[in-house]
Amino acid sequence: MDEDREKYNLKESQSVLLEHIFRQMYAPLFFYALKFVESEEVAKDLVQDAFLNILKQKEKKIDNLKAFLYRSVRNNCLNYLEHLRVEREFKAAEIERSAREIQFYDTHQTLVEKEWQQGLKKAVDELPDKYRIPFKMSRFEELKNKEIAEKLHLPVRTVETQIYRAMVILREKFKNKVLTLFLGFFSKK
Amino acid sequence: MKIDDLYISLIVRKLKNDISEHEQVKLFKWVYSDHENEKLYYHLKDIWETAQYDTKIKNANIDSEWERFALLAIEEESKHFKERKILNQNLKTVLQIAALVIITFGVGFFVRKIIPEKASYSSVKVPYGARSEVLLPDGSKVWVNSGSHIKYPADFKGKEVNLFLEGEAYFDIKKNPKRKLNVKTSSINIQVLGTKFNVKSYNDEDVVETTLVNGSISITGKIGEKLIKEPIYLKPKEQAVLIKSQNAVEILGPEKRSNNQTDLRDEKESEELEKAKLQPIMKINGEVDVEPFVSWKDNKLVFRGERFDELAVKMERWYNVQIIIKDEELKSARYTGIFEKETIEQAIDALSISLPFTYEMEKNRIEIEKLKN
Repeated sequence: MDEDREKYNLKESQSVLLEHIFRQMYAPLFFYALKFVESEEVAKDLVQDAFLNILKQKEKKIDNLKAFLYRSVRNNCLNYLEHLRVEREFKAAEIERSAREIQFYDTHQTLVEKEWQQGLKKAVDELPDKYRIPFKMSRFEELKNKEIAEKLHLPVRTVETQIYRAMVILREKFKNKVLTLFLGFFSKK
Repeated sequence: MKIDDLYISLIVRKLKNDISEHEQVKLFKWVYSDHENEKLYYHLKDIWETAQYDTKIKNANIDSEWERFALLAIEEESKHFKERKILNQNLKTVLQIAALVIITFGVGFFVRKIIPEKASYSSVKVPYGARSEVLLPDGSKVWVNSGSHIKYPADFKGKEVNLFLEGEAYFDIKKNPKRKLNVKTSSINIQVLGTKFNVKSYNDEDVVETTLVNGSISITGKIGEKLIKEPIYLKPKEQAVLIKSQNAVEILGPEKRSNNQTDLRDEKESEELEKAKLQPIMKINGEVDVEPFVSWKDNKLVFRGERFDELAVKMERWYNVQIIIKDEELKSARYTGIFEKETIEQAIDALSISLPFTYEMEKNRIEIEKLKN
């Protein structure tokens, strides 16, 4: 009986470690999966599978754990979309778009990591009023462009341009940093 | 990079999900026509999504997902039950990861025992006509009212402890800043430090009431698909009332519960609801007289200015009877009083004194009718 237990359970220090990894990585991975699949429940399952993949790596050594987890989630998302395609539960064009977006990130990094989203928050607050106000109304108050236009007494097109400009400014700010951090992250085996 | 106003508009509206199928086709034709366009689009989408990171991961439920993973991990491990070598190899892999993680995260990990052992829950079900007191593993106390069900973990070791409630319970929770304690019901989630409060959330009742006696709690919730956007913080003697069918959340004081103002409030409420387009709303008003809401735990059924039909629902659970009021006027009559050791007959008799009615009782079924002249 005791022997069975020993076989069943990871040793204490190892499970502490595993929990630590899990808690650190879960939210960004979940967020990452949500970029490509709409349902939160599906995203959760896909992330779970990625962590189980760690245990399934028998003899193989995992070189970069972060990359391994992201790659697992990536593959799981693609497989899931493929499954949707087969089942025809979803519009083909949208599946195509999501799949294409996933592959884009094979060579480009996203802002999923915690430090980036905090930096982004700061950067948003530093935007000039003209861009910040419509962007925030749009993103945080979830107002329609028309509603923002009315509030700010501006044409809708202007509001759209300002929201766009806000994002372009943010993009310039992050572009170089983000791209260098994880370069080679998804390098294929 | 200069791009056409049309595409600026389409990109922004695509991100806001305010775009027609036809426009999407147009947009993506443009996006895919040039690698720079595609890059731009994904970068903007990334920024757009990341700006709402906190909201997006709100439902990640890391604690329960960890529990789920722990169970799956045991299953996975047990597949290799007889192959000890493989298992060891497996553990080695994890250890290899260890060194890496410490470097990667730069954080020491706590020496704390957690484990893929199945999180086991204790559960207390209290039938109608009874009440029960439960001592939680950390010494906190919960009183569980008639017809209620509470589930709690067998140990409170985690950083986050979840209690599940259907029905009504009064909590006296010991303060422990090191852990988060949540009381979850089908519609709301209450986060607790050390505190005393009452929650009433019966599935068959439209109203969910949370009454704080002292300490502080914060409430989040979900009514249908609508989330309460900001957590609601209660101060002592405040009460949050959620009306499931109206998508409304209010914090009430006692004056709002008195007879005349009820109708006014309903009107005002419906106007405001209209304005808010059925977004959950919240009001904070005055001090609540908490006694009628919590004294059931001391075996007292206290009611103040309560409608007879509402009181009847409480009495049904309290005495395990069924009460049928056959007259509309009687239903809206108001009562104030306390039942303590009264039997159901004595209670009904007492009620019939201040407001004359006749009743018939057969087994557990009581029919109440207006007194005929």
